[in-house]
Amino acid sequence: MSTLERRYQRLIRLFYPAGYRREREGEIVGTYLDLAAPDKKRPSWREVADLAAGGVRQHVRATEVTELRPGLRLAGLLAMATATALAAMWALIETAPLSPEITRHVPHVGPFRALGIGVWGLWLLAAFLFALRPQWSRPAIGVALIATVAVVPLSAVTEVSRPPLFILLPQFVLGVLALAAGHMPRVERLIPLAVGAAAAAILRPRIDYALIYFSETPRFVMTATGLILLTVALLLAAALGMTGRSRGGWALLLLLGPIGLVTVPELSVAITANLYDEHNATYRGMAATAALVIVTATGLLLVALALHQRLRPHTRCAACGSPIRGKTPPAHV
Amino acid sequence: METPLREPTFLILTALAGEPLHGYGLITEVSRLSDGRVTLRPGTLYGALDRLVDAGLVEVDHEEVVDSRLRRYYRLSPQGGTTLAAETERMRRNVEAATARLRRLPRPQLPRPQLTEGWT
Repeated sequence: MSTLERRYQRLIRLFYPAGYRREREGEIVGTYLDLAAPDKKRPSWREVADLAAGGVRQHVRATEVTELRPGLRLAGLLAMATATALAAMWALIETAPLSPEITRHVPHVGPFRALGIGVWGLWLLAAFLFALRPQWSRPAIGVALIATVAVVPLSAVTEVSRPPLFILLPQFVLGVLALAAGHMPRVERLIPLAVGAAAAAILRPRIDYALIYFSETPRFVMTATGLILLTVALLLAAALGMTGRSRGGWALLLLLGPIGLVTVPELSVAITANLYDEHNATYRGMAATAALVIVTATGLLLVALALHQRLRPHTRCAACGSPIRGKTPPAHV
Repeated sequence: METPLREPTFLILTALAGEPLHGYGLITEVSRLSDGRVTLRPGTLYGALDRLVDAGLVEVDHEEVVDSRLRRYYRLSPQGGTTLAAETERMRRNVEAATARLRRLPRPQLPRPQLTEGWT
């Protein structure tokens, strides 16, 4: 085997899914070698880019033949509903009047005491567009995502308080997942708006005065939201699983990360209380818990994908034994 | 498969309408058909072939091993032939319509060369 051949193989192993490699590695490498000049020693950067793009296409294609794509859409819808509910509740918390006991000066922007109201307003606008103007929902979610990130440096410059990172990070991750919601019937598109309105209606009577994000109520709001999302995802996975569809299971797997991030303050306290007898949510504890959640959720998803690829039965041609691809295998003799 | 077909897809189907070809043969034939304008790279070619096989427009014809390397030959399926014929007919009608309109236009005048100072 030549050095050039080994280099092409290495690139294919780097970029392509395992199942596809087993099927096509020899063919692709052979074609590259047929095209190569006799004195060629290494792949060009154009060939590396071609293989990288081809690998991405195959990874996407691999999701199309499973229920992962529908699962991603379902997870996107649930993520959008959760992001809307949280935005509605945070907007309520920020716009409630200040307690008369607070006499010191609180920096503010216009009538608001924190920059978060702009972020939550954009999320609620995104929910409206998600329901009523689907073609604008992705740009609107994109703008809300940018605002969720931009509020951090803006707060540093203006010295006006902002929502803490343990609230902004799950909102951002939920928003990214919501981008995958895609096209769906109008009734389903109304779900985030309905969930947001219900969450605000439940929370409103319980808020007399503006609350700071580090108090018990926001922590309770996040834990309750995370548990409700987990319960809904579990029920959907079970219900769809009983009809032989795995999209609910994929949605649950995709939502594990966001659920973990939404409940980070509670998870962090649970972990530090057990390990270090520390019963308050500290910044360091929450950062470590968030990292643990991201690594675990990503790892679980990757393991599930790898297992699915490995266990998926391959159809082979009875005549020549070569793999037959596609949703409806064509006649192959 | 969505129509109108993209040019590389159209050229791959056209190349396979002649005879079954393997990857390298397809790349050289597509380049020849397009006068070197369309150069497919293997990563792009096999992605396109996967889509065409999934859509039932292309089928695996046979396999052979040359210099210890697998060569898989592809052929146009009956459905692929129908799609290619329909696409060719659509393009032919467009070409005819454009040609008829162009005939009615006055002959295009070539721009006269501009003389710059120093040459006069």
